[in-house]
Amino acid sequence: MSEYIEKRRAFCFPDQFQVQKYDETVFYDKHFKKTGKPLDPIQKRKSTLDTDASSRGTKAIDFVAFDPQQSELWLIEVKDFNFPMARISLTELIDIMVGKVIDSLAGLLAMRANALGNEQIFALDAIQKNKIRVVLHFEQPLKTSKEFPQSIDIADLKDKLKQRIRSIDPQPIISSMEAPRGVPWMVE
Amino acid sequence: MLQSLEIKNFTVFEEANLEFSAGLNIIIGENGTGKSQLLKLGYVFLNSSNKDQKNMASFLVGLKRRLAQELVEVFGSDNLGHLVTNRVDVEICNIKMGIYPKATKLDISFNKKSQNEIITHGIFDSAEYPKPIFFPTREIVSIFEGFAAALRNRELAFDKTFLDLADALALTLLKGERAELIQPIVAELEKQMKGKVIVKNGRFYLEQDKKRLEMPLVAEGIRKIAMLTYLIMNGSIQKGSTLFWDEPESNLNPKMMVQLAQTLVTLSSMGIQIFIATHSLFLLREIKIQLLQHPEVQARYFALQLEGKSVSVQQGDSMDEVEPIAALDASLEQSDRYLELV
Repeated sequence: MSEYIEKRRAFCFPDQFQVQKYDETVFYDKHFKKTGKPLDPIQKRKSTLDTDASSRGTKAIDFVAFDPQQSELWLIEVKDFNFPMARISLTELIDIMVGKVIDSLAGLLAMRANALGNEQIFALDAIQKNKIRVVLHFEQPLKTSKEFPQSIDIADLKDKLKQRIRSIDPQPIISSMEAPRGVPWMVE
Repeated sequence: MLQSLEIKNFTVFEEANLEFSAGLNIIIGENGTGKSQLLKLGYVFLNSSNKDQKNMASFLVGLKRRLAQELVEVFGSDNLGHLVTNRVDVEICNIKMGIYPKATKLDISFNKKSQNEIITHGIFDSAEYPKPIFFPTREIVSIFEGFAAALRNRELAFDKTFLDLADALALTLLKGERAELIQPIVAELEKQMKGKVIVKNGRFYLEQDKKRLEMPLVAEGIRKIAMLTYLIMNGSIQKGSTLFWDEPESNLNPKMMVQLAQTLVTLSSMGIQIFIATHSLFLLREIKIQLLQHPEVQARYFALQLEGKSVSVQQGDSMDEVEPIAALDASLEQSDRYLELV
C-alpha cells in the first residue's frame, strides 16, 4: 500500500498503483498552472475558498492514478464538508470539479509532451488508458437531522455531475469513507 | 402513436421540434413551462386524426373541423386564434405531427384571427389506432356517476379531456381471450390496490375482502390506480394505445410512486406509448431504476425551460442528456440552504 494525505485523510492505494498528487508535480506547479487565460477579477473574488483557482489559469484534480495492468485512468477530487471553510454551493462544487477534470486531462497531454523524467513517463502511461473514471471523494457533514438524514442527497450530486461530465465518464463515482462505491483504494 | 411534433408559435412554444419514443416519454419543467400544454397538444392531434373514415376527402374535411374544435375545448380558449403565441410580430401558428409508422405528417396552420378555421398543408395519410387516453391531474372514478351527462348538458369548468375520459370509463369490460391477455397486469395492479375495481349501477367501488368500498372513500392515490386498471380491463388502454398522464405522482405517497414507476414501465413494455409530465425527482429515479431492469423499453426525456417569454426544449434518451431538471436543482439548492445553518 502506498499512502497519500489529502484534506487530512489518508488515501491508501494498492502497491501496483501509479499515483500522482497532480498539483504537486513539477510540471504542473512550475509550468502548466500558469497556462491559459487567467480568471477575471470577479471570478477570483468568488473563488476565495479555492485559493489555487484564484491564482492561476488552470486547475488541478487532487490525484491522478492508475493500475498499470488495468485500463482505467482515475481522476480523484477530494472534498470534505465537515470543515465549514471548505463548503461552497453544490453547483459551484460541480463547476469546479468539471473544470479541474478538463484542465487536468489537458495537463496530462502537455505533461506527456513536455515534462521531464518520471513525470513524463507517468503521463505517457496515463494517456494510454482507454477509460477515464472520475471520482469525487466527498465527506458529508456528520451532523444530521430527521428531515435531513444526510445533509446532501448523494444521488442529487451524482445526477448533476453526470449531466456535466458524461462525455468524459458516463458513470462518475461519488465515494466516501462510509460508502467507497467499489473504488480500488482505501481512505482512513 | 405519436412520433413527432414540430411546433411554431403555439402558446409558450415559439419553436420546438420533438421526437418521441414509442415507449415512455417524460416531460420535465417548472410550473408555467408548458408541460401540460404539450401533453394536451399531443392528445388533441392524435385524437382528431384517427382514421375513422375510409373516404380520404371527407376524412380531411372532418379532420380540420375536429382539430379546431378539440383544440378550443381541450385548451379551454375562447377561440383558436388565442392559442397563437402572444407576440406582436407573430401572426401564424404552424404544427406538424408525425405518427408511427406512417411517413407522411399532418401539417396545419391557423392565425390569430381564426375562430375555428384550420389550413392543412400537403398530403397526410393517417392510420387507425386505439383512441388515446388523457389522465388529468385528478381521477374521476369517485365522481363518475352522472359526470359525463353533466359535462354534456351543463356549462362546467372541466376541459374536454374529462369528458373523453368519462366516455372511455363507460365502456364495458373485455371478455374471452382479450381479457385473459391482460390478466397479469390487472392482477399486478389489483395487488397494489389490495382489491378489485367493480362498477355497479354506474358507480365505482373497490372490493376488498368481499367488502365493497365506495370510491370516494378510497385514498386518492389508489383511485388513480383503480382508474388505470379499469381502462385496461375494458380495453381503452391496450397495445398500440397512447396514454397521456399529467403529474401522475400527485397525491401518491413515495411507496405508491415505486409501484407507479413499475406500472408505467410495464405498460410501455407491453407496447403502450406513455407520456407523463412530472415534478417529482423521486418518481424520475424510480423510473430510472425500472428502466435499468427493462432495457427493452425506450425512454425519451424532455426538459422545458422558460427563456424570456418563450420555452426552450432539450431532449435526449436519458435524464443525463437534458437540462435543467428543475426538481434536481431545487433539491441541491435545498441542501445548500440547510448546510448554511448547520
